[in-house]
Amino acid sequence: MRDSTPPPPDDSRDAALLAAAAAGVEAAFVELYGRRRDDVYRFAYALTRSRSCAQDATQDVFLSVLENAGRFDPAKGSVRAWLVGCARHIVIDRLRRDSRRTGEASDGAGACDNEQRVLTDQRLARLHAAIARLPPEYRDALVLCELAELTYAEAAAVLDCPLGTVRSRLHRARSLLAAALRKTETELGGEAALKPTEVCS
Amino acid sequence: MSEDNRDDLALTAELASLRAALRDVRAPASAEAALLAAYRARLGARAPLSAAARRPLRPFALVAVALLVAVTALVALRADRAERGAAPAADRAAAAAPALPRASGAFRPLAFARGVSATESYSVVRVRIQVPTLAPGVGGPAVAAIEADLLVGEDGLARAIRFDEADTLFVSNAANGNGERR
Repeated sequence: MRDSTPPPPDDSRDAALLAAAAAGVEAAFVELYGRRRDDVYRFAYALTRSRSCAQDATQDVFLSVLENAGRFDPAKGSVRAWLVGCARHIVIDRLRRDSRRTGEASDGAGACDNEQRVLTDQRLARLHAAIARLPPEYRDALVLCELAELTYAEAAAVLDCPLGTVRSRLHRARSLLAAALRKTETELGGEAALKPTEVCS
Repeated sequence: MSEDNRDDLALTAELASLRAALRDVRAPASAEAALLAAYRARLGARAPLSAAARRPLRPFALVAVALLVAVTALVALRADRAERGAAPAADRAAAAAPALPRASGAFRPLAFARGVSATESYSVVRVRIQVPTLAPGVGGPAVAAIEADLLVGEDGLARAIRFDEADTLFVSNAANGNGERR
């Protein structure tokens, strides 16, 4: 699907900014953050459905640049993919630490204003919730490829697995997701009954 | 079209919708100031260590490493040479011993002869001297003899003499009735 998608044309700029930010150039750090913060935040939000968790993860990812920039390998993918991979590790750690994350009400309904506007369609809210309930390996593959729009190769680098494994996980994730949605529709009598606030809870 | 295919198409469409919706999700700008402060703090915590570790240490470290390498190489080279040189030298000495000039002592000036001068040329003449002629009072086999080198001047007169240390053994063997030279 997106195997042949070339890396963004300005990725070399990202790489230069990453190196400079790691070396302590504040202006480079600010520029890199401005260019990629939404990508990281969006991915973390897609994975957790929590704005606060996504915000914390985004901050941790960019702060980790100082220590971890040396691990970036341009041969494995773009800086954007690398940052998303860092975000994935951080989110997984957070989810492990706080197993109450999925479905918890810590963010509160009032914290979900942006998401309420974005996810006004109940079907999308239901889909997002179903994705979050997938087994982690399938959820991550689906979010990376379908929502964060990484190439399969980049997703393979992030997940540290062969490209074929990414494809098979993605296929399996779609099957599980379709089954989960069918089941939900059956239970709800064909109507999506989840409210947008429940998505962010 | 099967139900699975319809589900798959519907799922693809819904995922595309969710993807499009997520594109509108933005990181809150309020976090930027806090992040920048945290970045500066981390950088500040790292900088003194870097400055202390790099600036003063780097030149000394390079010199120390260079010296260490040089000394190590020198010691290793010497040890290697000594190791390689010692055994073969001993072997060579042992092997070459029979071929060396058997008169290894220094010339001793003869009594009543002119001294040796560095400006004159001399010849070395090997002679065999019967032991009884050297020491008439000493008993023993008449065949006992000793070889010596005479330093002879251009006038044909002997100036100095040296005895071959190996001949001591010869004399001793001869005195025991074994006249063979070893």
